[in-house]
Amino acid sequence: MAMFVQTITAAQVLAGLTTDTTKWAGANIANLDQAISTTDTNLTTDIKKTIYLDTTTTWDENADGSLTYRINQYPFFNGTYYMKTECTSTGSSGDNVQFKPLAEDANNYIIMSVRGDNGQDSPRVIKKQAAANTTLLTSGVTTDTSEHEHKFTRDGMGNFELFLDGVSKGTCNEEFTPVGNYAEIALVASAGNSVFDIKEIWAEMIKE
Amino acid sequence: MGGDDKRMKLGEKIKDTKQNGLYIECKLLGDGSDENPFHPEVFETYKGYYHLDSRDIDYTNKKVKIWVAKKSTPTAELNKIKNDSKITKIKETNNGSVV
Repeated sequence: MAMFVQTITAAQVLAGLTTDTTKWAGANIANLDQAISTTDTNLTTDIKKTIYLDTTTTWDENADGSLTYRINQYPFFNGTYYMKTECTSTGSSGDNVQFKPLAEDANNYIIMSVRGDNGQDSPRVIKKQAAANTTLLTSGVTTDTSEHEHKFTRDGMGNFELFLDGVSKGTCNEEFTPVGNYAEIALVASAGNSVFDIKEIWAEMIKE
Repeated sequence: MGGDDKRMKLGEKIKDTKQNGLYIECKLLGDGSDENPFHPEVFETYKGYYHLDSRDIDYTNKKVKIWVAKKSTPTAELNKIKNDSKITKIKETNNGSVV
């Protein structure tokens, strides 16, 4: 199977989500590195892909007001998922950024959720199976207004690990594997009263 | 070791947690909703470093077994977990041996 590698080497601004505050209250995106795609023609048994979002990213607007960017080329699952965010103002409701590496449908998926509502632990890794949510990993750190790096990984054995600011916050093993219909990043602003700066967001995903 | 050693592979890190850990059973809280997912009670009460095997979640009886990594959990938190009468201590390991 051919290997596809998309690497990032220079700068780009990721912006444009601030105009409609009813959808996403002030998701000001800071400068990011520009994506330059390359194709590695070496043959391997895996497909590996790194994504970066930039100004050209087209977000889908959903009926509930959330925005999603769907990564639908491959049913990825294993890999590393990273976000650097600053919640400049926390709120009372559940605004959050979700990395959803593999989803079967709206009721079956696994996500990393970075939250902006007061008093909530962030980030967390949550499984949704048959419409029931279970927190598998949590940082144990309450949302604040400082800049933080959030990352989680999954290996080929179903093991997950969650990191906050470069420090592991726990591990889990999850047997549930949703059928890989799509992967996506979602911006969910339920009431628009917390404010996120998304400084950096990327994923390096490996197809099994 | 445990939570801070980035050189250790994930599988090895989990193995280390189980060889130098405290295996406990606690309540499974939450109702599975988006706002209140199911979660181990210790996630709320103690700032430990945990490993969760999803097969250890008992949704019917609202209980969950979970590993606490002794090397990566602050001593004060570990002692609180050990002394919490609401938490069942299943076993404790040191370098792979049950103590």
